[in-house]
Amino acid sequence: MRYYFHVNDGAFHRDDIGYELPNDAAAITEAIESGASMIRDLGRDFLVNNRWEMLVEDAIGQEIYALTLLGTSRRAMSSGGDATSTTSTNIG
Amino acid sequence: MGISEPFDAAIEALIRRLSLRDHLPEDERNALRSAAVRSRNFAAGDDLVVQNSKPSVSMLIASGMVARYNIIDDGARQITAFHILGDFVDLHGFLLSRLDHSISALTEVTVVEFPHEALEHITEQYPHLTRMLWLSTLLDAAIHRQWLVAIGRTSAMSRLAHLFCEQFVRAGLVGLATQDSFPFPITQAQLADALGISPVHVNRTLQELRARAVLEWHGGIVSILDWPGVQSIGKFDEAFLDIEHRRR
Repeated sequence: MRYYFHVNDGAFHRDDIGYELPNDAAAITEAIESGASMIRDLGRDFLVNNRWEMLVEDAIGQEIYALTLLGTSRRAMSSGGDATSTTSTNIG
Repeated sequence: MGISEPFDAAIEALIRRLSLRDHLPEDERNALRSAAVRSRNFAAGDDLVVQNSKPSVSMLIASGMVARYNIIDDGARQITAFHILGDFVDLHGFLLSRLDHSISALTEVTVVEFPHEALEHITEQYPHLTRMLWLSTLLDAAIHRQWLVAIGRTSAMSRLAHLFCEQFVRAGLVGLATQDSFPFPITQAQLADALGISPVHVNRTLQELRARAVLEWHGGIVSILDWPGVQSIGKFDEAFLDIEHRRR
């Protein structure tokens, strides 16, 4: 069965090609492994959107799984330097 | 195909590849020609050599493409090298007691076999040719190091671009590339196994390379649209392939 893996990292990247996998479970595993390496590649660029999502769709256009990574800054803005700051802030 | 055809194709490609690094005198060329004893054909998917086996011959590719690979516990496969015309797939098997990996045919493959006794004879009679064969395994190791660095430290995009650059240059050395394309007749899953990422990530990375108009991969052919662009994305410097003609 063909599955499609769309990515939303602030912009929506539609997967028009898809990939043949035996079942939903295999598609979900594929999403996790792909997501992990795509996020590794993003590195600091993740902070631009602070949210990354992969939507898995089956051959008939039904969404079967969503993988979401959400970053949230816990440091108050007033204390100087938010998560996207590149200045050297004492984080520890 | 005539009897001598795979022998000529494989050995002349090897000579061409080695001659780019140093002059090979006629007696050394003849020593290579007389050391190969028979040719063998494999279908796509066949294993040429299986991990832990003790080969008594080393194989030189006359046509087709092969992969060196290891199987991980869960059945997944990591490809550690691709080989094409004029490459020895297991020259190191001459001195290693057991092969630490398997070698699989990615397409139909023809090889010519060099019995290890014949290689031993070369090492005893032809010191310069011996160094050149040693160089051949050193080049394999240099390519492995590039893959290791790429898999450990670079993005999928950079890794894929680097691999395409490496394959383009290597295909060119043995006359398989045109000015801006080369055969790359493998599947997306095999490419994923070589890059250490999932097929879906390969898919997305290929789309990005296409969107940047640097290359395209269709029907088993990679077309280079922007050579400086691909090299820049892959941070590719061909120095590790040591294409320098000098005394070795």
